[in-house]
Amino acid sequence: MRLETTLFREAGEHPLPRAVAVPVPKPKGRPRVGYLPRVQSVEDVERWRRRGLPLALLTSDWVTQNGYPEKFRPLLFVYADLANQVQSRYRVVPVRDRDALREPGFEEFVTFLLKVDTLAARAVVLRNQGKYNPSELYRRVRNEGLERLATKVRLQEFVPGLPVVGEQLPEADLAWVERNNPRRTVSP
Amino acid sequence: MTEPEIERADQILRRHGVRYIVVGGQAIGKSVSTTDDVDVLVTTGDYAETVPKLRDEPELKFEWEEGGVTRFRILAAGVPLDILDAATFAGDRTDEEFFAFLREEESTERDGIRFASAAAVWYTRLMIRRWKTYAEKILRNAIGGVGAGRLRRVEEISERFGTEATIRERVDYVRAEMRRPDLEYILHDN
Repeated sequence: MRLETTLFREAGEHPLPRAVAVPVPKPKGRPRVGYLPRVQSVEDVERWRRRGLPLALLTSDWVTQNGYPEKFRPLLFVYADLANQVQSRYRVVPVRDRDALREPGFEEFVTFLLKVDTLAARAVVLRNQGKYNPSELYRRVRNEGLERLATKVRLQEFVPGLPVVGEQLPEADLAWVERNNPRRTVSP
Repeated sequence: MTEPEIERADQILRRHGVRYIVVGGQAIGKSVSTTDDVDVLVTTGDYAETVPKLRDEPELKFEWEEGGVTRFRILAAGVPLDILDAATFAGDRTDEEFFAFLREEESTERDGIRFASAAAVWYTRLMIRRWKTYAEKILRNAIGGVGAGRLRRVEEISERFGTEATIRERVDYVRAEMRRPDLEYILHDN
């Protein structure tokens, strides 16, 4: 069994193109047409965000700009109750903490990254010390229930008070990975 | 299109006559997830004789050598180039056999460069001492779209090279991680 959410147009709200808001066939006797969000581009993400939909795109540019050079196809983070409804060419990752998708900043994107790439999340936190609020990161990690993943990559070193849950990867191995993908510096 | 750091490594290795196969994240591809570092696998013969000569190569900076891995830095690209001895992964067969196996059965050629298959890359990751940390990269590849079914191929490779005892437990660990509730949705419902 799973909970499904449907979007409905507010009174007076302009309709979105069918390419973006896919009408759901109206069941007999139901007065309103529901819509499923379709997200195929960065513009679609922005359009739906402006309409208040809890979703955000994590790109490799963001990860690279924050000190961990990496390339990957963007990932779409969507509020869990809505995740099954989104049609997208991006891989959809459900997010439990709806509030984290409201105006995601560094702490929120690190939390999203932790869900999909623990090693990159550690590197980004390590390479941006002083640029984030550890209490806020603590709150986001706990709201999302990611204590076990945070423990794997020893985020407790940067986020005081975060409970240790499960196994920690060896410190020396994490240092090895850290050295393997340094910030890009090119010699002439 | 081949990544510039791979092209640069290819030019240098060819100039020195080193036969190699790209392994690591660069073999799996940027659409899945890859970092900038370049990992290549060579035969023990090349590892012992040719690779030391690369220390005099002006486009590379030697950094260290440890247990079958030699680390250089490609100066123009600013990224590490790790050269791996095939013997590390050959189990009860020879390094030449493992190298030939990758070349003939578990790699594809793009722009004249051979890239190992995802299963071969996962096998090499699970054969090393730091396998549990590298298992995180396997999970990342799976999230990026590499099918979890490749783990069966990893087991087949281990059966061929007599490394099942090492690999079985490690594959089981990765499979258990893939069954985590948070990953199950991403890997199976998308």
